[in-house]
Amino acid sequence: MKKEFRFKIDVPKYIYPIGRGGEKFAEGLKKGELYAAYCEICDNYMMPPSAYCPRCFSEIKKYEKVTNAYLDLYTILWKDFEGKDLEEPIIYGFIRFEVDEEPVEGGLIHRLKVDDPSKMVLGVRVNPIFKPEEERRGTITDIEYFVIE
Amino acid sequence: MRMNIHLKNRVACVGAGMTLFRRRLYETSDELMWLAAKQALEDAGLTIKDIDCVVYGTAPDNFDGIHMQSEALADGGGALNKPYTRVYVGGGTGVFSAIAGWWHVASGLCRRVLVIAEEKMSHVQPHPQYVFHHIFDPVTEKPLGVNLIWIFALEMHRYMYKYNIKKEDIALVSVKNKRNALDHPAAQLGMKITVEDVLNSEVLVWPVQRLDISPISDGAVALVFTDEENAKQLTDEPIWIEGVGWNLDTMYWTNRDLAFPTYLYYAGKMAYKMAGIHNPRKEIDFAEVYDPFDYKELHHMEGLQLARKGEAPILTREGVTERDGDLPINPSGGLLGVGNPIAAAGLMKVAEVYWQLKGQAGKRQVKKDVVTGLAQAWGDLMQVGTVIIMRR
Amino acid sequence: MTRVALVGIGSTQFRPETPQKNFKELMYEAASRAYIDAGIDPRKELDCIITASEDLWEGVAIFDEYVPDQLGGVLKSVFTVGGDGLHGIIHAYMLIKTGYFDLVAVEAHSKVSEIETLQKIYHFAMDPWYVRPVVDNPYVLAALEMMNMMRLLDITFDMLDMTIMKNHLNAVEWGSPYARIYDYDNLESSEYVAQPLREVDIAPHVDGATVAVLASEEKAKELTDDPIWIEGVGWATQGGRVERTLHNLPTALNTAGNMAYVMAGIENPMAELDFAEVDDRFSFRELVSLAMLRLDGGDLMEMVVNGVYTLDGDFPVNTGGGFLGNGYPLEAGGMMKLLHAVKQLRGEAGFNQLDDPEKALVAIRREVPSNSYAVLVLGR
Repeated sequence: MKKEFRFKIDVPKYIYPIGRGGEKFAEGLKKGELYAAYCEICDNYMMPPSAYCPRCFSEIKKYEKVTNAYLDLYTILWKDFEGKDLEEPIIYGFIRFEVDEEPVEGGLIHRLKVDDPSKMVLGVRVNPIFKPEEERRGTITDIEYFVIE
Repeated sequence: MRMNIHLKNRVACVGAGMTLFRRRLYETSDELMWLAAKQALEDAGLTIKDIDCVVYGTAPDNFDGIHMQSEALADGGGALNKPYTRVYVGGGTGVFSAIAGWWHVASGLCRRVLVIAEEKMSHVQPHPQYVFHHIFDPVTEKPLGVNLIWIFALEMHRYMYKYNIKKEDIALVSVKNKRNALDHPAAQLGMKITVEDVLNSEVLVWPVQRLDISPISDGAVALVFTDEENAKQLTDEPIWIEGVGWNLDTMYWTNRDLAFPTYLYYAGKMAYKMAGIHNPRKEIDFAEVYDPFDYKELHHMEGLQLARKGEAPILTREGVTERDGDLPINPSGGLLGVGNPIAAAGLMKVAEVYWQLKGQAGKRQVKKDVVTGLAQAWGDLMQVGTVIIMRR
Repeated sequence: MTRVALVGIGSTQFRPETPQKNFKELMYEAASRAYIDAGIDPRKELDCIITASEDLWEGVAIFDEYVPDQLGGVLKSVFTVGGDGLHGIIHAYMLIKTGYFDLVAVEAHSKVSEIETLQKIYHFAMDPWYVRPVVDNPYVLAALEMMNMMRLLDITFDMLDMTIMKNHLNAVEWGSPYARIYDYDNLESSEYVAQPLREVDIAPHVDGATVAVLASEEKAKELTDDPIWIEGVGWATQGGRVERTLHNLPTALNTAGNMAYVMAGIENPMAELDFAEVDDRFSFRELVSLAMLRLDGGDLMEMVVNGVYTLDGDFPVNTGGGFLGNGYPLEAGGMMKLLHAVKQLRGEAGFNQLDDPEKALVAIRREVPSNSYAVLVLGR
């Protein structure tokens, strides 16, 4: 097909409410804390938190502050989607959490800042680094990145 | 399609639930699904663990603003580690997801199916018409800057011209449906208006005016379908799904006569054949037909053979389609009154048929004793008709 | 209840670009071939047509409306599944099982070469609150998944290399644009995209369309002497949240597989099936699929190292070369696998032909970041 017969689609803009499940999480981010949802019937913590338990469908009434974060999986992104080398590789971690030594199902995918690559082993404790309080908006990017403890 | 005289799995509807329909709801898409599904399960006396399979319906992805939307929202349907699928036929998706639920059970593969339809139109900024812009042919129509109302105006005009119908008669539909919706606890736009109000409302695209048109909504609806054995355990009076039909016309809408929905005629014929109905006008007790615009209700009644061509406005004027009339149409209040979260609005109609047949419609209950009800939706580019027939 | 048979299949070639045809013409080409293969007149005989697609791949809203004309579906029962082609096949199977439908066609296609913002579409598929603001590249999710699977299933790079070499070798005979003969040196020099995911682990995208025609037992016997029977189907989803599935095994694939096995009366899949076509969108996915579908004989490593999954092995896998060799055609992925399996069962696989196979398994997972699986068991 000749190039001039091609057409392009423009995508509209979107606003997504965080909903009932994310409310507590968003408030927590502003305070520099992370909250997991707790289903009392299944005795199960969930991250990211949701308003309901997808297994038993009961409403979540309790959100607990996480007490421990560790690196569960990581990847180093060397190339962009087109296959071109990135100027600087980006490290993403899959961070999992614990609430009072109880495991939390799920976790968060976020950037990882690593000074010493030899420290990057699975299971190592990590900490979130938040933006300055006045810049926080209650979104996931209030966390700038995680660092290895 | 042929007749199946050896049908092994009759399909029953045993529960229904829905969220409020509002212009903007605070809950996320999956939370809405969960709210509706939870109600439907409670109504059926089941828990999510009893469900074998989940069917999800939503019109285009672009409203909720997530690509591969069904995948992202699986949690809201409680579909963890379960068969889960999404079907869509544009605006007809609501009734169509119920049809999909029907074949999951009728095929013998699933016994207890949760059907959920959800739509969240409020995510799109500044207005959902920006999404509707993309349903037109990218080469011949989209560059003209068209939107959905434009094409309906053409259809409405053609319908009015061919059968010599006055706007006053069409406006009666809007008056009736918005009044009916006053009795619906989840309704978004129930109100008392007069024909004059409709005729004096803002002209959007002539002949479509503000009060001719259904609102933009968020909402979700869920139903529970089971096979005969489970249904009889759960309830003494299951509502049976007796006929389904759907039909899609060509995408080139300019090649069709817009005055009559041929595709709906075929879809209706398919459903009537399956349900063994020979004279729809006599055998259908009441119907929930798709009414995103007031003239569409009339148009669809004719397509479904519930009225002869050009006769629907007359029936409306004579009060036949009122709740206490001989053929109540849209006793719920329809899309014009309850709201129009596209796919969810269609499934709301199926839920209304269920409630009416069960005698659980409260203030909305139609006067006459009803045994057979029909729900219908319509969508794509004025192109698809989906029909479901249920019996007590 | 009626059995369900596959009586016709037709496909375009799978190519990185098809500038001479638009997506409707691709669909038309595949459909014409399928209808000729089945020996039917679509306008007179087809009861229903199913398309598997998602709106954004075509850049439209409501893709369903663009479907009927080029498939012979005007004023017929047509609908679209938001899923892989195999999900479409499963719906067709159910429709025929109800006893009301005799002949159903299923279509899936890809016109990925015309998507100028493919990455943005993948980005748009991620959760808008928790993932989208942080990750914009789908390969990040695939790489995390890969690391988890290598950890949980003890998959090594050697095993992945052997899988890649095998699939490319199998694809050479199909005339695939991406197939090449790899050796260890080539593979070793492959660069990381998102560590541990290398360039060679990723199947590149292709265009193409495939249409299959399914029939009831009665109709199938009218049309052909040797139909391919669909003996079992299964489908399931792991869940919607990427974060809550990332650290687990894909048990939903196991659920879907067991569903299909039970339906087909298979107790010992590795002994009773002759070959399998499984998802290899990323090289590690093939091994994960085999493990979760009980096709690993208890020790995946031993099976791979001993060449059990090669064409000459005891249990050939991806005999057509899979996605690694042929490219990944979006929602038509499952249909490509189905095409390869049907060719084998019919004895039309040419150089790759196995010795008289009777039963096959086809399994697919949808594109990242989804978690849906579909499985078919086919028999002659």
